[in-house]
Amino acid sequence: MALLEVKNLRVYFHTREGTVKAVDDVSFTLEKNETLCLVGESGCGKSVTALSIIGLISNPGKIESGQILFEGVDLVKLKKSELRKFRGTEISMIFQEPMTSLNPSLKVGFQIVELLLEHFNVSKTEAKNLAVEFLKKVKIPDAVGTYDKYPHQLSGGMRQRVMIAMALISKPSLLIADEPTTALDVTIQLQILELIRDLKNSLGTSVILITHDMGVVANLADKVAVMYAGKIVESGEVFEVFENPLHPYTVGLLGSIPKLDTPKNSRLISIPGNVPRLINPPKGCRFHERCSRKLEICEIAEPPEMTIGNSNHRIACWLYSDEFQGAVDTDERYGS
Amino acid sequence: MQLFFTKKKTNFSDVWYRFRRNKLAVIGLIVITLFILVAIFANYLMPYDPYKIDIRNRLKGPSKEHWLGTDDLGRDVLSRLILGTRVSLRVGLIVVGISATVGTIIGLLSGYAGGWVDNLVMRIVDILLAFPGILLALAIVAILGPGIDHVILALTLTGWVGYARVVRGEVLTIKEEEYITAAKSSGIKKSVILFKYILPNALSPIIVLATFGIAGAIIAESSLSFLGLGVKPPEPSWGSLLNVGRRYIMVAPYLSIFPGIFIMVVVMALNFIGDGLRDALDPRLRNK
Repeated sequence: MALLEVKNLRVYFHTREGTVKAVDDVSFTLEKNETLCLVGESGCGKSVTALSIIGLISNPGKIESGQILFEGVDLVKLKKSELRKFRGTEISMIFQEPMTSLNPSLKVGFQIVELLLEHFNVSKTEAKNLAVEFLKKVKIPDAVGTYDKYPHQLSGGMRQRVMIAMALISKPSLLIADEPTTALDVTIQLQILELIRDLKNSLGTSVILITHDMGVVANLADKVAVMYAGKIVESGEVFEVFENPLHPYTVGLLGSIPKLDTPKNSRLISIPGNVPRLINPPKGCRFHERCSRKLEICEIAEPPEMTIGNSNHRIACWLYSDEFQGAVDTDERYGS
Repeated sequence: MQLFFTKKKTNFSDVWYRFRRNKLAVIGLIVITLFILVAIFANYLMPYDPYKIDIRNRLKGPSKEHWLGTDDLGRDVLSRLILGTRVSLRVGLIVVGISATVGTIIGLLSGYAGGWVDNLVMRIVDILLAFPGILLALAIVAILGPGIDHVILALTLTGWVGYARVVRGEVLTIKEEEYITAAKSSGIKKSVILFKYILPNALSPIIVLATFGIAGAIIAESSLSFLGLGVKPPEPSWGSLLNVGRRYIMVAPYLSIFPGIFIMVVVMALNFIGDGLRDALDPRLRNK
């Protein structure tokens, strides 16, 4: 059984202007000890997907339908108090902004101990020892000293390490990391990513990593799911998707990464336009307005989801549908 | 830049360092400490029995024997003022203590709950705020009868609203902070989030408000005592001493001048402390 199975998840935000379909029919699975990267532009529903797993969608947002099966338990159906037992024990989360994710008026150590006392039957001394041990595990140089520091006395990288320590101290089965390195500078980013990977391997935790940085994906992911306007447009093993991106959006995303061997005066590829407003998403394929390989059908009907070959590589795009084989010639279908 | 905007480093030594640099605030603190000591050791400091009537020496001006003179019954004004310090400071501290606690809890719950609960509480607060507090206190004391306990009760009943409003406003901003989401995501209980995560971050405005509140309560008690609704004679409070002095303002103006000076000095000292605390606790003024 998969550790996490999200089936047909729909999360809508009912605002005064209309219903924002932030996550619309999203499904994916995550096996034990696997890392899944959710990739996409800002506002495509990555964070909302993550927050719904941990049950933190708040007004005006609502999980409209779908299942989130965690070890077979449907988290959507759980009561708040039951769900709270999963948070911080089985499922942990790391946030984007280490500067604001720690309580500024409490000492770092106290915040970790608080978490342990809340969920586990441990004494204060045991909790303290465990906290220091985990601060060491996340490679904070002066773990004992850091225990007694306030968040503002730590740098961004150190704070993110503390957040990771807090998230992993309960040895959760699932770690959700929402852009954990976005707010950090590049040298620290790599260290944090390596830290997440090492701890993931040593603790056997599965990871859902949300990012828009393809470099991060290549570094950490086993599987990748590309989201666009509330839907997963392409997913599969990371090598498969990177080697052979099929959806024009994925192609565009990958193409927009500058490489060392790109000629000096060539322009970076960018995808024209912006993410559509999700109150009134475009009919048919949501990407059609920005797609360079748009077909007529794309404006009319939503593309079906299909599997390519016999791998896990799934894609939702008309270009690869058998029904429209006639519309595109084979060259174009699998070309470049 | 981020570093400078991370809110409220409530670090005691930091705050103390900044507070110390404000000379007026330090003076205020010294003055208040002196008054508190006077209140505690009143029994040893009073040169005469504050209740001892000496009709022959009534309404004598300041002299070597009676530094601040004697009142209409020949009682030593200085002794009565010293004893009055107790009443005035007690009223100030108790009123602020209770109303700040109650107001803070109500504000916390109201702000965190949101929705109709918040709406209801805030409308009650609005109603109480729209009413002049001293007038309401006057009405309450008039119904219950004069007495220091009734004054405290009346001032508390109207006093909590200010705290509730301020705290609720703070909670509204704090509950959207990422560390609250982070705490929720790690399964921390609501009550813990409320009191250990939100409250400490809302504390600085409460402290400042409380400092000003003590001054306000002392004045309110003085006003009520001045109107004859405060302490029962012969027990002295600054306000009631002022009230007695009023009758003899033409013959013995010092009778009202000295209590007035005491009230003014304490209220000013508290305001200086409040100013100093506000600046010391305000993260935006930190680098000045």
